[in-house]
Amino acid sequence: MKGNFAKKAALTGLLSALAVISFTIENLFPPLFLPGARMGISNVFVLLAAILIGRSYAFFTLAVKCALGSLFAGNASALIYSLPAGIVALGAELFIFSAIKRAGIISASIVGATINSTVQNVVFCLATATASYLAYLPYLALIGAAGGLVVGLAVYFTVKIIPRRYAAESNDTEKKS
Amino acid sequence: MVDLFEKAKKSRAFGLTDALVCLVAAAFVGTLFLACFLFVGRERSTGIEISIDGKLAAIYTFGGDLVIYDGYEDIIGGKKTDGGMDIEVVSRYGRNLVFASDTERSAKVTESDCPTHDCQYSEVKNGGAVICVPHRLKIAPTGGGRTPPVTG
Repeated sequence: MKGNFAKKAALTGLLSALAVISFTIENLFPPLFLPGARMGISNVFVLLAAILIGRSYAFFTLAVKCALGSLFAGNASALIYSLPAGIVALGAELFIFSAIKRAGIISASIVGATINSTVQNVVFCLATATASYLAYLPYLALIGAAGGLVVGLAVYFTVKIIPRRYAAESNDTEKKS
Repeated sequence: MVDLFEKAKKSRAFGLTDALVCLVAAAFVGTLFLACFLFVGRERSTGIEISIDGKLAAIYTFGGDLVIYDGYEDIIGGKKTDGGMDIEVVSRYGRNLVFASDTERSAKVTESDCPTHDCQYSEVKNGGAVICVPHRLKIAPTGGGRTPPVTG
């Protein structure tokens, strides 16, 4: 039990660090066609945290990524819209992947990324009181979906090559046994 | 509860259920495009308003003058150029150089010392807005019947 927690903590730390690094590096590049449009490569590590460690650890990784990533990017106020969007999107991804029997991680990631872009844009418009920014919404959702496909593919192939022993036994499996 | 690792290990890359899930997402994006097409205004703006920290700081009318609100004279400055005006905003948050084009009736940030440079990828043209979050700067098309202030 103690060993499993240590493994989970170590994996969470590792994946959180990788998420923050990739988030910071991605922020150094110009956005894709539209302001704020990015592939969201750091979500690979958030989804891996959900699959390898557990759902609650994925939310922790997401919070660390958003908080430290925004801080390192020099745009701390981005936390206002990136964190709620991330939470809603991750919740949707986990719901689709868990609740829909034959749904895979790629489709869950596409839907999650679309929701992420949408919520982020809506919260941004509310926070800045700029309704005209909603004009970017469909394009951002489309770019988000493309990013979700890339992230989903990355997670799918990564999980396929990771042996079971590298995944921390999830809480759900512990309860079952 | 489902063991996500086991499911991810065993699941196929893309099946019929995935196609259906993606179809729902595609329908959602399609609805957004339709709503945008139907509801987003395309009227040409007559000018731009510049806000800092949520407060209106200046108004520029295309082909006209730059009107700077009281208290912002030291922060905002304008210089007429070919086809428009270069508006420099140097607030306590940072510097942005905005080019307002009279011929295209548009405005965009040409220079910024903000960390993300997202503001340089949007434009005020037929609607839209430019927002520099780190510098708390907003450039929006004029509207709502707001009239320039009386200064001096």
